[in-house]
Amino acid sequence: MDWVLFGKFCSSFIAFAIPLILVAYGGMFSEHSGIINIALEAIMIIGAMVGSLVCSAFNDAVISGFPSQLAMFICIISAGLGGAIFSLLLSFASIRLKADQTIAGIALNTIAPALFIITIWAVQGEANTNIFLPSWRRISLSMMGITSTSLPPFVNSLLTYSLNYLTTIVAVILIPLAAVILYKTSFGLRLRACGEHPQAADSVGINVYRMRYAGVTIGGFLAGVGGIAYVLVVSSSFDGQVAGYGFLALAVMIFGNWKPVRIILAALFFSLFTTISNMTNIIDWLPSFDNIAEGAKLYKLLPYLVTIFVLIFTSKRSKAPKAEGIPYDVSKRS
Amino acid sequence: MMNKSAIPSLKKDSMWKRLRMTPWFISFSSSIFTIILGLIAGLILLIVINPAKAFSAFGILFVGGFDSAHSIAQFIYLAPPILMTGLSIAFAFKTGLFNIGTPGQFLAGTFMALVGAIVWNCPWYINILLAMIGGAIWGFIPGLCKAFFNVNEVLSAIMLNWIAIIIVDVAISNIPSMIDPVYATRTVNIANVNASGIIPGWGLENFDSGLNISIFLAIIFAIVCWIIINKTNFGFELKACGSNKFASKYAGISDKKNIVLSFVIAGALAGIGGAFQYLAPTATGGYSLQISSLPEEGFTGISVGLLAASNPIGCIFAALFISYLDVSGEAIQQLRYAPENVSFIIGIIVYFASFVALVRIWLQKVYKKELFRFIGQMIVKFCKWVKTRFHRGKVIDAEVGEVSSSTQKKVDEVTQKSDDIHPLENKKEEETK
Repeated sequence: MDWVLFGKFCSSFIAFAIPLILVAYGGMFSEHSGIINIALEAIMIIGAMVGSLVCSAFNDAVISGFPSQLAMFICIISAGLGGAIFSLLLSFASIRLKADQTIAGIALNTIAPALFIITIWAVQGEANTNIFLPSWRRISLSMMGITSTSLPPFVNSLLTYSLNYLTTIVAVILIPLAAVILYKTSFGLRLRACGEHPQAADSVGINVYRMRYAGVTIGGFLAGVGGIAYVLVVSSSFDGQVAGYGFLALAVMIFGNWKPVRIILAALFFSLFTTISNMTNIIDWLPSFDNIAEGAKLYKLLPYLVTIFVLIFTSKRSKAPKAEGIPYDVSKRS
Repeated sequence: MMNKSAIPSLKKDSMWKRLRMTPWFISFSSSIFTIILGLIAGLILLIVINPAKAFSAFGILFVGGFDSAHSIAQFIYLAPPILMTGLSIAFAFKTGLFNIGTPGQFLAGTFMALVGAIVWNCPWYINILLAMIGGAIWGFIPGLCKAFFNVNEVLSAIMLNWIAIIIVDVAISNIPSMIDPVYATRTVNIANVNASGIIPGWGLENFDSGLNISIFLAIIFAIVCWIIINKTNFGFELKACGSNKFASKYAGISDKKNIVLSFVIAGALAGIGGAFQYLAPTATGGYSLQISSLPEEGFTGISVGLLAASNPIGCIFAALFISYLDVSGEAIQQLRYAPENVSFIIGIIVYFASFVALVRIWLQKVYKKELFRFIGQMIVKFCKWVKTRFHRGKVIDAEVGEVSSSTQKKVDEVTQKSDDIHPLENKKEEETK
């Protein structure tokens, strides 16, 4: 097998899957606490914006000797915090002000790209709407102290193309951690109770409001990290667009039936088809639609069509958290 | 306490007291309130960016759309597409569905309208019809998936948006007659191929802008939507499904049929928006191929529908308001502000519109306050004064005019008396609290 092709395939596959899983987990935390989070896209943009601003601010320090991966770590954390703080807008409106959560989410989706451009104009000067991302964001092989020839070709191609971002490592730690918190701790149980039956949760002494704030904020943190994970891998500058990933993550979350393992499987499934659709010119055995102009674009339909078909066959059993989208009112019985 | 005073003094109630209880007045004033809050937030943002120029920029934001006939025509020209997508959102909302698929339906409508105009050489009204069919088909799919397979409509609609972009791109690339001979990534200028395919201006195009009759058509569609939703059995069924699916099922209303129909109509409306956008005389650039993002009109439509609180008539004003802000937002660029300040303001307005239920309750309380009672009475008195003037102008006999004004005084005295009672009532209420 061609190891270079394999490496590229894995790189694209992982680059697509990791942000999807992180952001979908963000949505999962929020929705299990009972708040519909349609603003994932906005939170991703804000997280990525804060992260990449921090990243470019560290550029001089790193060039003069500051450890680059420590700077990356600070950048990832600040991206997460940015997302968490921005998500407070959603939780404040939907918990304290009992807003319509879908509308509040849509509003945030309108605000975030505008806020991005306004902030960038203020920071970098007029009409300069790209944040430059320095090349030290990658972990190079020389930094790990190994040479590419000393490795087996399989490992070498993986390391060259895909795994060498700190975000990947952080994600590999964060994803199981998030799943364990939601399903194996008493905090997670309480959080899910608030999304299923807040009145019952309240009757046993759980503070529903606080739990919902916690759910949305943790979700915002994860989505912010997902945003920077997407931006760092995809391009060397960030222009305030995350290509509809937030909505795709929402789709992955519903597709994964609001459950951690299934969300991972759904994200892998989705990114597999996207990777195939992006690499049609490299993979020989796929038919090329030569008689149609722009025929290669038809492959881009693949992930969306497959998702719709899978949803048609699986949605009958789909189970959203029951109290999702309903503002909690202490005086209401249900 | 409330009942005692409310029932016997119904006739004596001041106009203001009745007005402040009417639902349309409260939703109207809460919309105005959210707009004001959004503008204040925008002003604060402008001050934060650059305090020196903030107020002049804010002034431009207010009057920038009115500074010339051209810019007035410009914002009216921009309104019809977003009015149609806004109607699409509003219509689906009435059935409790969130139609985030408007961008895709808009694209499907655009494609059909362009094919009708360029390939089939159809006149403009046939093109609009074709766009309607295109949008309806694109709305039919998520409706079907939702009704029969319980697929989340937000999800399938998002997928269909991306599918629409790719399919339209590939399809137009494969119809050589649609591509502009000079710019390979654009569709051909319709005016050169089939002038009858463009929506006519009927004299409106003299305003040095792309203005045409689509604004009137869009307003007619809005009124038709209002009639369907509020005055027909079908509209009642849709609203019943939206407010309680199980109760309406129990009453014998087929929820599946209504979900599909509501999506089809919403899709058709968004599709017409696509026709309005690209069959305009100034849309010489044509449809741009190889775009990687969804058409903005679709998402602006969401803001329009939400700002109008899903009321089709309200959509007209919301669409005009948002397109006005867009035009004046271009103007603040001359003061070195990003035009995105406007989308920030729109976002904030929608954000405030999301907790409109709370705002309504709060406004109802506030309207009972002394200050608002005074302002409200001034408004009512002004209305009465206008009414009497109008009356005098119409009736030739001067005596009748005098009589009417004297009766007016009596009515005023009575209202004054009834109003004088209220502060005491309020005090008592406060004491009991």
